Amino acid sequence: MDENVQIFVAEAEELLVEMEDALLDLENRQDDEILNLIFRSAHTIKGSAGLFGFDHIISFTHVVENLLDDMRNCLIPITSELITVLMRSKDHISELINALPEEDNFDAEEENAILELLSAFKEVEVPTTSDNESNSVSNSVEEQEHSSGSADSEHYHISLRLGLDTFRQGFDPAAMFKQLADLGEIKEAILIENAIPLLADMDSESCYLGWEIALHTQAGKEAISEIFEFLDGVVYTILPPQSKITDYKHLIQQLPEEDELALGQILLKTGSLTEDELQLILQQQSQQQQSEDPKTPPPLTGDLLVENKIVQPEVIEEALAKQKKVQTKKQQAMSFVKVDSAKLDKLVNLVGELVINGAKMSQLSARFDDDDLNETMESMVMSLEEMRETALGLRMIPIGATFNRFHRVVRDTSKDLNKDIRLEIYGAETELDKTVIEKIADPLMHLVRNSLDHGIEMPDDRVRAGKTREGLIKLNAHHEAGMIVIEISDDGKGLDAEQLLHKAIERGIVKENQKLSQHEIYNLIFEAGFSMAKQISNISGRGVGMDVVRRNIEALRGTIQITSEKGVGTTMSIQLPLTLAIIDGFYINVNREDFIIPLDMIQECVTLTERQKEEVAMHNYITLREEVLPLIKLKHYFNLKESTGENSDSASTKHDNVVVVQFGKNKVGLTVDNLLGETQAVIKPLGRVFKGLNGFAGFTILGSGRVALVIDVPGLVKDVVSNESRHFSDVNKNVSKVSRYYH
Amino acid sequence: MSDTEKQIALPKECSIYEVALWQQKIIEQWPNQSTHLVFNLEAVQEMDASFVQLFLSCQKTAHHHGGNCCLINIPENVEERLKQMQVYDVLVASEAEGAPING
Repeated sequence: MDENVQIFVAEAEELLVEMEDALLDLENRQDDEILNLIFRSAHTIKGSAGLFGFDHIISFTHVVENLLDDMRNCLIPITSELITVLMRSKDHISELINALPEEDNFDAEEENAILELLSAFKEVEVPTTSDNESNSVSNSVEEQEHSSGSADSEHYHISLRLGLDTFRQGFDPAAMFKQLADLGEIKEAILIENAIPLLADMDSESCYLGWEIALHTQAGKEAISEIFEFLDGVVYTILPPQSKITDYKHLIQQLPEEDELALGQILLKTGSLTEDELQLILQQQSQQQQSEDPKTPPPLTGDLLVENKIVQPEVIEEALAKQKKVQTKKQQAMSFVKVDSAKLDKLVNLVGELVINGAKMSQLSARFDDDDLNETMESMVMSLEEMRETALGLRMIPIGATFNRFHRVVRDTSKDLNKDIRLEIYGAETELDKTVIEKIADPLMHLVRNSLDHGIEMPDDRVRAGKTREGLIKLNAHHEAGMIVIEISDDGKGLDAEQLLHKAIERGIVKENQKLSQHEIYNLIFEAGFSMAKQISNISGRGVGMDVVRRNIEALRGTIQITSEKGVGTTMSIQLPLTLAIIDGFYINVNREDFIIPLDMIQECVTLTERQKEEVAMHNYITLREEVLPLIKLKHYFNLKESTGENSDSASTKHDNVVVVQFGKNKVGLTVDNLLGETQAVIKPLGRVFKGLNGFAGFTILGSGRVALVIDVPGLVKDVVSNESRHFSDVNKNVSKVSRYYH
Repeated sequence: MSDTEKQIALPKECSIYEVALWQQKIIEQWPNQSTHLVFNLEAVQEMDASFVQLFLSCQKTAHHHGGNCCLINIPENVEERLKQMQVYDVLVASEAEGAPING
């Protein structure tokens, strides 16, 4: 795809996300600014599509834009049904954009259905509202006056005060009125009699005439202003009609956003202010500033324009909003650079290679007793570390955008299910690797839909259970022990362990006499084909999904845990690594084989005492600070053969050290031979041949050029916890039996 | 013409060049400003905005003293000018009821 089209697609997607969020907001809070934002999104997409000649996108978005415009003009009331149609329209625009560069590849049936709904809203709603408000464009001005009862809003209002020398300069006010009449129709002109002196007091050669004029014209403000501009001493203001105000607001919105314009310039460009009016206000501003305390800030142009009734407040507000938008966009443009994520990936990979080479160099330099070399190496390694952090940081994005998508899911699904459900989001600012976020979106969707469908009860059932009619789903993200934890919790009916077990036995997933801990029973929902739904809905209930959820999470080196209380609710807790690419690792070896343990999983390293070594030799646990710590003897776990040969020192190093790792709330000790220190590890995935290996998250290349396997701590801990709990349920939770089990 | 009415006939040319003179004449000829003032425009061929303003001032003065001021025998071109200046209603139509004569 052409690079510019790619940029268009990326920007349009951002706008559509904004549009969806705003539509959801609009449903709860009918605010002009929100509606304007939605309109602007549609308008910008249409405009940008026009640059590439994507006619289909233009024509469909145009229909949506028209409807939005009618909503802005209060011709169509904002209802939940209308929001739903607009959501569908937004989805369809998204489909059209994602199909690019193909323009014909779309769901024509869906498009026709949407267009029909959109036109139905226009047809049904417009006549109803026009009875009370101004008539549609095709109606005559007279009809509008009759129906609205107020002609003023449809006319320019001109306040005119002629200068004292008008007669002396030979100017004829009648000619001025003729010119005004040439522009349109003078609906009314009220003479300002107060200004005319009594006969005895008047200088009859001076002019005291002034009028308030209502002019109906299609001409712009500038054209009207031109009639007065050559008159010395004339004072006038031209207030546009209500329809013109809307036009001005549209024009302001449509102004290009490249240049940062002053308020006056924006108003001048859109014709809502004339050059003379601007000069008058600038002069007034300058005079006021001179006459006031220099410390006092000068009066604002916008305030002066409104005070002098030159421009309506709503037009000023629109211009200020535009100004702010351009400023923000400019600031953003200065702060952010859009980069193709493939380029970022390449950068991260290259930094990974640098890290490996840096470690290698560091080891090589250590062989030489050269202070300068070692110092330089140290400095380089520090820079590399910083570079690695920065490179990884480039890939980190807040999870908020992913979370926000669920507002729509919760809204639509709860409507489908006739439930009343609210979504609360916490920790939206928590950052995760872009790849992790992309891959976690689908599992999250499954979990949220499950909570909506199975977790939250029907409103009446909730009331009967003493709960509020409205159910609550919370999405929460936070850091915990070097991992990101994402929780999906609901205040629904919770899991029924007894029922789950019964269903699992019925389906042959569990044997009838098989004993399972509560944790294991809950985990049954992740078994393929397991579903508790009594009815299969389009939301969930086929038992397809939860097993995929677990598999996808595990593919990200993450885990999922369930806590639930019957009648109170359920929380699904996903633990994910911060990043997938480069980690701070701890280098160990066992039987001369090299391993890396992710540093953020390590609690401590313990060099065993003689007594502890004896304990380790006999059991699979040690007592550490009066607590029993289960052990995994990596040599046994990975089935490593005893080293032989002249360099073998296994006898002296065997089980000398324990690395205490923690995952979630579980701690396990890994017995290792040598603790070789911290290192940065670029994790490479294991090839397909090794896919079936348990306990490894990947491999890395050490500075020495040797390959080290990266230990999958969550996998190991889970294995131990699972075995431990099964074992405990069999032997009345006797900790001392743990060792027997592992032997 | 009664004591309660003062009629002034205006000349052929009613322009800014004569307005000050005519202002003075009116003040002199209309000392009791509570009386009706009637401008006879029969002879008028040309009239500019300064005279229109003079009428407006006279009308205001008359109203101020509880009187009235009206125009009679308005030629077509003057009527047109008054309408163009959007003062016809003020000077003629609104005063018509109180005007003793109109031609």
